[in-house]
Amino acid sequence: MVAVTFGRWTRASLSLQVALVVLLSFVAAALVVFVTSRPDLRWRVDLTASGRNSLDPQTVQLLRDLPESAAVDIFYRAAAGPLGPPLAEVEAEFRELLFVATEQVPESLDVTVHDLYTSEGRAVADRRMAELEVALLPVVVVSLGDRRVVLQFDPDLASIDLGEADPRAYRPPSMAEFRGEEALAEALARLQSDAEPRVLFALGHGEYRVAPSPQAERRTLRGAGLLAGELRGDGFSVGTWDPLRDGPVPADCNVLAFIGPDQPVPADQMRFVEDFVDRGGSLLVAADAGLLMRDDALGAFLERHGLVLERGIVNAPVRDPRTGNLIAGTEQCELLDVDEERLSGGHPITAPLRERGRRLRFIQARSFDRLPAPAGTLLFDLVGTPENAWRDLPDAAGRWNHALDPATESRTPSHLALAAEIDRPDGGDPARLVAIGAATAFDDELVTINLDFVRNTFNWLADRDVRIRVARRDPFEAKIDVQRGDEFPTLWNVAVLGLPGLCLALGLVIAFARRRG
Amino acid sequence: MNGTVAIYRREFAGLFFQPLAWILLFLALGVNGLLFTLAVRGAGGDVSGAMAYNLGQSFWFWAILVVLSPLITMRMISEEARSGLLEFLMTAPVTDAAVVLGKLLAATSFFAVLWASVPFYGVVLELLGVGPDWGHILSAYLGSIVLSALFCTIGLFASALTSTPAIAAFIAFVLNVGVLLVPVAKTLLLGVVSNDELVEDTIRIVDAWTRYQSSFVVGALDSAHFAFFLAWIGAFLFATVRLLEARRWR
Repeated sequence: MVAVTFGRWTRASLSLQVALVVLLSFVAAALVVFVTSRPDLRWRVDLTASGRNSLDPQTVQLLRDLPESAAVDIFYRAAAGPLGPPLAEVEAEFRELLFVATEQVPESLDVTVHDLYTSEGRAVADRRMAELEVALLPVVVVSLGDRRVVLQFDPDLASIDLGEADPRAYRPPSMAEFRGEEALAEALARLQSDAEPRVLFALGHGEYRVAPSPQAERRTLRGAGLLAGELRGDGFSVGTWDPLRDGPVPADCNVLAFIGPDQPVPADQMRFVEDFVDRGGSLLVAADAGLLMRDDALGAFLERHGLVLERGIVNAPVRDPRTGNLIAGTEQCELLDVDEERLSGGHPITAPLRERGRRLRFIQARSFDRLPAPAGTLLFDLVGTPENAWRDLPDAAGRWNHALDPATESRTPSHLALAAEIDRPDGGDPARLVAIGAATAFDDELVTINLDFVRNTFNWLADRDVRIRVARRDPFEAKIDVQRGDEFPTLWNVAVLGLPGLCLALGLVIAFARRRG
Repeated sequence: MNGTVAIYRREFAGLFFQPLAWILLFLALGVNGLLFTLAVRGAGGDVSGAMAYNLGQSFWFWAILVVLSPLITMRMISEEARSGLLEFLMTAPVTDAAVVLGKLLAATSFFAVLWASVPFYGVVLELLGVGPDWGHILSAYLGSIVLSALFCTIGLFASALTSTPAIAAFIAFVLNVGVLLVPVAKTLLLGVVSNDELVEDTIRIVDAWTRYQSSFVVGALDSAHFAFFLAWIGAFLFATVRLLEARRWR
């Protein structure tokens, strides 16, 4: 037998070969990892009892149907104050939802959580927000190509219970209900829908302007620029219609909106509107707080369909912060907080709001008298006047006293908003009409408060009711009482003393046995 | 296969018939048990969350793994090489792969016994009338075994690199820490908002921590993440076998 020895260079060469083989094995592993990560080669099983790692099948299908990855941009910064914790909880839950989505349907979403804490991160976030045309925080934007849907933390992703501020029964704000998956699914459905309804805002009669207003001027100008931005964010195409400039309402218009006209609409221009309604177009009329106008064809049109705009401004008593009593005679009485009890539970615009306990806020609102519906028109209640409200009438000098005068004013309940479906002459799907007594609901100052009502209104008018119901998942709970009973002490004894003690005892036995031979 | 089983039985007996293994188990189970009960108390009695915490979400889980796996595996090849036992083993009628695989299975069995404490707590809770989420527990337990196998394989690889157990343990420890720091490196390289997909994809190929947290710990079995661990275990095993072979030619 001959012993073989290797020279230095041979050993070096062999070592190099070994190193190369080792490197190749790592490359092979990386390749295997890459290949097995392909969505079509990947499967996933959720073993949890609550199904917390799985999305609803509808959501999964929407994600799989995406033609390309949808971008999800989260703009959130932790806030101080009572709303901080619930908003943080919403953000955490939504990020967990997105994590499950990206694991269950890989490469369907491209998630970016923007850093709003550093100057570099804020610069990047500001550019992206400008690109997406969003200004308010916190917000999530889901975009596909050049289309986008904006989701507010409240009310889209979750309902925030504002709690109770009264120190005698203080309850901090909290997250009442998380519906992030529904919001995400509806956003995806909307993005994949071919429909991009066109909304035209009427001009020429003193209506609110829809061009963006500078922040400093929002209190003085009658502006609905934020509304236009929100509608674009929801996938609407937005424009204006000036009858003197444009003539008849364009054929591609789906919804025509009159926001706060304070001048009469002449009959000849109203004919354009009537033609539009006759061919199935939807109409939104939001009344201005001004006095009734003579020769207003728009008012006459509403009246023909059973909606009569009443004189006066709806006022309601307010609570005196010092005494806690309800008082009148102050300008604050014009500010109406309408609770969910005054919202109709039978119409798709207001039913979800009532279900979720949402409130609306109007300022200087007019009310409607609802007449018996004429033939060919179906009327629906939407929003009723608050309890104890009355219609405040001006005195002879045109001044408002914000106090109930029983001789001339009454507390008869009335309507702040109504909807109608109007039969078309050609027998097609009926045209839709929504009449709201307060253009201020769409004002830049209040639209964010009334956003879900505003969105539901436009979605209903555009017949774009995308509602996705996600099956509720019951959270799995396994809890022991750590304060009382024997469960926790038993667990402690087993986990901290029993098992380790058993191992120690076995070790000692083995050590003893080995010493003995 | 017979060779693998023979080596496994030999190594398993060598591990568990030594007092050291039981002392390590005593310490690790003591820490684990304490953490578990504190987690249950801290969560207001929620046992499912505490179990997930113990099987991947706590600092001590990773500390035990990173520190113990080098200690368990450091002697398996390097000590035997130094004492001459390895030459004897390599002339036995077993392949190098069987030797390495048998040692890996033995080391992984140690961790399987250690992490089995958490399902055992689940059994105790079930007997107390508080049934935990068994699907979640078993998913996390399976993941902890697979993860332990990865760290043990790294330990064996380090053990094959040198004949000094202490150096082998040190190399394994450094590699283990490196594996855990991949997400940190990613954040440092890319910042909080990443827009470099190539770098992200590359890091994802080696990011064991994120993959473990994304699947086993949350109660989901994902073939991609499972394949990740098996691929890297296979790569390190292959590399270890090649290093063993290279000893013949020295």
